[in-house]
Amino acid sequence: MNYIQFNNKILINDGDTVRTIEKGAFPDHYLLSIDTASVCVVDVDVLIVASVEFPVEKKDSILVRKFKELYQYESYVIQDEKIDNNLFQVIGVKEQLVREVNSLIGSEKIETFVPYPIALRNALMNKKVNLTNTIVFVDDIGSERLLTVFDGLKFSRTRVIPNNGEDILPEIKRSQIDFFKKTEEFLSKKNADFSILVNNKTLVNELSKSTEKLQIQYVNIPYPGLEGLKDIDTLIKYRLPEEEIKKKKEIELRNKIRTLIFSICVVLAGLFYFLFNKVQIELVSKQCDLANQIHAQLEEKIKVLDKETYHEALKTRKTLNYGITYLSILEIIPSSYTVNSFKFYKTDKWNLEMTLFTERDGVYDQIPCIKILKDAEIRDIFYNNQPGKHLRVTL
Amino acid sequence: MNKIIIFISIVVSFALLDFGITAKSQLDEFKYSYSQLEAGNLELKSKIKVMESLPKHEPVLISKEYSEVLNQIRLLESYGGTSMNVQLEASPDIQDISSHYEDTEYKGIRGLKIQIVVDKFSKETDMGAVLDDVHLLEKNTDFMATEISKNNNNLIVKGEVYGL
Repeated sequence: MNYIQFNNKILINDGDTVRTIEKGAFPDHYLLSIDTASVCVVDVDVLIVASVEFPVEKKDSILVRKFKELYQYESYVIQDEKIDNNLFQVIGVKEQLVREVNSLIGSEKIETFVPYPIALRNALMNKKVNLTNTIVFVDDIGSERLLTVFDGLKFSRTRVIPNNGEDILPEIKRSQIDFFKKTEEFLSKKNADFSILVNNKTLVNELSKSTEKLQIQYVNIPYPGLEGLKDIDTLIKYRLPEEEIKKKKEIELRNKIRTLIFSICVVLAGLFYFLFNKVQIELVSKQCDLANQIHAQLEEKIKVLDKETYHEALKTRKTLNYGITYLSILEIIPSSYTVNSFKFYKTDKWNLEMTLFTERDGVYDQIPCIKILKDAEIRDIFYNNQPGKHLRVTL
Repeated sequence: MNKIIIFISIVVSFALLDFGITAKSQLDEFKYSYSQLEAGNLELKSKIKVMESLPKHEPVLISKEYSEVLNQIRLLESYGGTSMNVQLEASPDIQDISSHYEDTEYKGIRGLKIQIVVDKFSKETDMGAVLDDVHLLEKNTDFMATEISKNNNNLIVKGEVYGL
């Protein structure tokens, strides 16, 4: 990863060393050979705008309108960050500058593209510098000095002062006053106190010689813009309008493809359910046909077996010897009775019904219910003026 | 556009689901029929197994079996001195044989109803012996008695001769 700070000069940190290169003398092919880069640009314009937070479209509309009212003569690429409730910091980079950076490096290689003050603020926060009070940071990069004013999350436009040996203190004051005037209505503290942070010890000594009682502090960050690009956590990234449109189109296309895939999946699920059942029907139908064929074959076989075995099966059912049964009953019935009629008939078992009469003036004996007549039903009957017995037994 | 695609896909998938549900109910019916058939086939197989264990004989034509019954009756008459008069009802049994005998089907086996009337008894005739003859007739032929009754001086044996 390369960290690049764009201004009149370009600072490049390839991870080990920092190189300073003049823009004009810069060989383009060097930048084009970079794999990935995090970039910050110094030349940005800043505006604090109060706006509703929602809906987002309305907020964006207000921020853009307010920014364009102030910076109407040039095209800007605008990003914003929330710094308080209903308060936004709008940071614009000239479209021409974004194009220049993109053409030198290649937009696809730029992972982070932020304003220099945000990178600087990140570096200061990493160094645990208290930003709750107003501070003016002087970034001495040798031939130039970059002055940026911070108050909490708010920051000013970075002023680039050439290092020509002149006293920089008036410029620092001017930056602070300018910032104070522009953001006065949004500042929580209404006084003009501020402290100065400098990353050059010599300059700190020079400024300390001043008769004015100013809070001046040395901060050991040689290239704070480049340092701040490391481990930066921000949603801000500058893109050209056409890139935004391209990205939006890509997102739309991705959404459409996702919708299409979802739709196809839904239809496929229904189709799969339908086809699965259809295939199952075919399979079971074939099994049914096969079972039907087997059934027909078995029926045919049974028909043949019926013809071959009916004789034997009938024989097994001819178990009752009517003669022996008849004689067994006669043995039990007292001799005073004469069999008048009898009938063997079949229900699920064989049954025997018998009517018995005595000889004229015969003894009307009790029929013992023993042996074969153990479960016999015996009742008295009177037939043709003659008393008798009716016997019924299941054999 | 996306909403239209989603709407159409949902409509199409609902239609397919509906077809799928109809197919599923058809499938369930087929499965039920198949299980019934399988159970029936298993039952038939076990029946065949039992039948195959029985001794097998060549089937006999019903006319032949009827002659056999008559011959047996004449034989019994000559032994017992009893006169047996066979009356043929001349009506084939329209009922299935299974109506007479449980757990039997005997497909293709016909029954011919006959009635044997024994109306001449000698004084010495033993009714037990006559009834024993009827049982012997059953043993020797494919005749089966369904009812044997004696009233006044007649012994009536109703039954059927079975054959092809």
